[in-house]
Amino acid sequence: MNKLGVYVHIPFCNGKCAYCDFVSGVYDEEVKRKYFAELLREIGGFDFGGYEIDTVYFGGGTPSSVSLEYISGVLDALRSNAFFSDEAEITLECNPESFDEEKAKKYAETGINRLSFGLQSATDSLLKKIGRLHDTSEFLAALDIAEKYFDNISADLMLGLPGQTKEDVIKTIDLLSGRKLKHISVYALKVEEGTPLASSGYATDEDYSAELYDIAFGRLCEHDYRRYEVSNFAFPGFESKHNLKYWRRNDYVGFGVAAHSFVHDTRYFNTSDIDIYIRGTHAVDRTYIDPKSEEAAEETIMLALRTAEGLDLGEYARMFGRDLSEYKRGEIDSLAEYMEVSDGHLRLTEKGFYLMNGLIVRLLD
Amino acid sequence: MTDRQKKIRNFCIIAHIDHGKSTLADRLIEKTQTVSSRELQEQLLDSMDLERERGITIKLTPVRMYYTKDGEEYELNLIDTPGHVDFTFEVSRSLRACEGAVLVVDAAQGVEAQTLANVYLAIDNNLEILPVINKIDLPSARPEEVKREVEEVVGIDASDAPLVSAKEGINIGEVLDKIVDCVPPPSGIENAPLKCLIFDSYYDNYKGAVCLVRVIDGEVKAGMRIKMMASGKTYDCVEVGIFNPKPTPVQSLKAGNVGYIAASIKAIAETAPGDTVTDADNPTSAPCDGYKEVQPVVYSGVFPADGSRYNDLKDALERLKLSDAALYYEPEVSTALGFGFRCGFLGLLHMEIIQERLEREYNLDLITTAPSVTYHVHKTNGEVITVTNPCNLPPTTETNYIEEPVVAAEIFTPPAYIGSIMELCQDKRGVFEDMQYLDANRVKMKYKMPLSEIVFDFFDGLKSRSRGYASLDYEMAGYSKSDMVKLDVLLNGEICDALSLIIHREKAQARGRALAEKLKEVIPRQLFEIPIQAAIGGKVIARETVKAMRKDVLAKCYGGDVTRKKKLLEKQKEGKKRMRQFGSVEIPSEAFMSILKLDDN
Repeated sequence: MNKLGVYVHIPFCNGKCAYCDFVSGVYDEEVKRKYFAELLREIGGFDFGGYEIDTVYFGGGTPSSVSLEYISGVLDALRSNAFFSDEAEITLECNPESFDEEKAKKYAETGINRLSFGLQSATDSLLKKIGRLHDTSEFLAALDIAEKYFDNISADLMLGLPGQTKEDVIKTIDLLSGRKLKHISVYALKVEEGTPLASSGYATDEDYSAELYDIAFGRLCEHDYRRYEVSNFAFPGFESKHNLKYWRRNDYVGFGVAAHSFVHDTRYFNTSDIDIYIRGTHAVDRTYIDPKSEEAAEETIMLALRTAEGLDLGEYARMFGRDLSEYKRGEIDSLAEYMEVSDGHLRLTEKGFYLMNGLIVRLLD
Repeated sequence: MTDRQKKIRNFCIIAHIDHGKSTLADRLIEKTQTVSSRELQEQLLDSMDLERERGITIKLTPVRMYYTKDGEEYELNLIDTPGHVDFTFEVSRSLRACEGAVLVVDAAQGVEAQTLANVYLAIDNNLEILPVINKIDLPSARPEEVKREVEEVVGIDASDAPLVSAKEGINIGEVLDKIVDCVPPPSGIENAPLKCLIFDSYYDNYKGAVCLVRVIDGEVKAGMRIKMMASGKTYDCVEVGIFNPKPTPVQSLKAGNVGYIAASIKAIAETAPGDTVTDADNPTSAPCDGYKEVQPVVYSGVFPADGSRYNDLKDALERLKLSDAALYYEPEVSTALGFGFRCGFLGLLHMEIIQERLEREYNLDLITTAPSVTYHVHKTNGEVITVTNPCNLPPTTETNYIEEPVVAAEIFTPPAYIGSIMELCQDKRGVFEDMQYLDANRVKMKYKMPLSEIVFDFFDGLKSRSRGYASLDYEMAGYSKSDMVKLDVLLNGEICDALSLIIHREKAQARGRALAEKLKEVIPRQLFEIPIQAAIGGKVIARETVKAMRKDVLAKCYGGDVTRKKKLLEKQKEGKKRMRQFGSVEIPSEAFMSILKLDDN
């Protein structure tokens, strides 16, 4: 039976952050009720035949900002519609300000076994500047509660925030590692068009972001975290199984507005208009990708090179009928500083990791 | 001369830019009801979009009109002429097909330098000149004065020149009467062997290469076997016709007529303007006098932005060459830009027009290198060579001295801008010769100036310093010895041939610095640091560095949104196609273009 990851998009927040261009916002209860009703209909309409769900990921928006019943309703629907692994990794994203003991307890009861906190920074003035609703002490209080019910906790850290210092990055990482969080995601801020941050005229300094990344990487390694993907660090054994599916081109289905899916060799995504979604129109664009095609081969390269394990050359040759290390020998040799072949895998080097787009393009035709 | 010939008048219109040539042509067409006024688009003869947009004439378009005077119907053939200095050659071609020329002079502006050049060409070709004073409706019109000016400066009788306003349609009939009365009918022998002069040609997707001709002797009709006398090739004439003003087939074209010949001519080079068409079975004894060979004045490398489109560029140039005998090109290979062409042009406008036509009509993206003029290099061994490409400049050790082309420039401007224009000219190594107040509002300044300085950004400077009021005319005025050097740009330590320039020593330092600075802006950061150096004869005079890239990652790849990352990579892949690999450095095509207009300051 094929494994299936499930992503559930919860587009609701208690406030919109200055940098956010995700499909999310502040809505009243009536919209939420209709939304979840439609979400359950979408789940009910999906053909889970031949699949066993082994990861579920509630992303947003802020999943912890909605009533618990909605979340448990989704999990019930998944369980009743599909084979559901007992070992399934079930992650829920939460923000400190919408998290409390009652929720934590009930999340654990519904089977959620992994929490991901949107911390972003441990400097309160920075948090305020980007419109986060919590401060560091609230995060720590939420963490105290979370740790009672959950062993596997992750937190997000952002790089390149306006006015962010190297000290802030180090302080934040030290705080998280001090609490022995199992997983830390480190994202570079991208100033997206149309966001308040963009209108404020702020632009990230790519060199400085790269410097902050180097600092974060070094500090995380010192604390025994292992980078398994360009933005994701974890103690061994605590890598996000759900995230890895994306990089390994495993099957996943996304439910909810703007959710992306890759099932039966077909990529599609749902409408990003919440009103259209509620009225019952879901997927807007479907592309079948022949598993032997050049497109599939390119996807395999670009996704695998994001990870520390890299591209399995034997597997690649079996799927696409060519040895990439031979086919692109010239490029690989000339980029020796940035990529290397060892034990049957092509990997980016330490130096190459943060420059991966240009390097990947060199490996494509 | 037959009675038929007695009722034909072949004429052209000569005017300075903006003196109203195209408007007058339109009025003549309208007055003779060649097209209904409903059909009359403004400036009908300028058929290329480019021409209409710029208000200039590039291609020659003949139009046949019928006009009745004293109960007799006359056939009037108007052969349009381009008005810009770059196209003197084309003017001379169309003049050869005419017996008369209408000289349009602006009633306010009077006679201008360009007008004169073309009038002399017409006189050289034994054309009857009919002066017409245009724009008499303007408040500043001074027709009597201008008439005297024509008599004094041009040396022809202008006492009964028609006073017209083409814009307002005043006195247009008088012009037509004059044409009938004063332009001689075409001589030529109708029953002699066919002899036609090709004065232009164009490419039609259905008919192939179409020749625009003036029949000198004999008669040409569909079904005849015709022969191009220069190439010796024969064709079956498929169709002959006239322009009224759209191409319209007719039974035959006879001595004195102007029209077109279509003969399924496929090969582009086979209809050279200037060639003579004759009857293959009964050829004429001697071809028409050959046209003057023209020499290009400005040269530039032209390369496809996407290297794989070399053949498309080649085809496009071949096609343009069909209707533009003045365009010169030969293959060129550059280490930085790959395969392309070294093209020669009559001047800057001609260059711009060709580049624009290649991009618009043939949908090509081009990289062009900095325009270069023709240098005479006197070598130490006594040899004198002509250099049009900086890469061919011999080393200084083998060079005795270099001469560069100089132009006589006339700048017309309102007096308010004299100061800043003088500054500009001085900066451009101009030598002041003379200044004249034409009236209270117009000054004519004369300079001797190196052509290479005019080629580099002079027009823009002139326009910006005069708020668009100043205008420039120039003509070649020989060569003069000059301290020219080769300025090279080194990327990552290697000379990038496509960026080399020949430049005056005094200017090299500033230009080198500006070049390096600009390149730093336009070359994207890459995996390694790229030193950019500008050097004269191996001596580095400016240096910049493109820092190594440190971050090139789409970190946010959220919720399985792979499409976003794919799009980004697609964009990068596309971008890569537009990059030129120079050694290990990738240079975007735009970088080559961005340095063509640089401010030395």
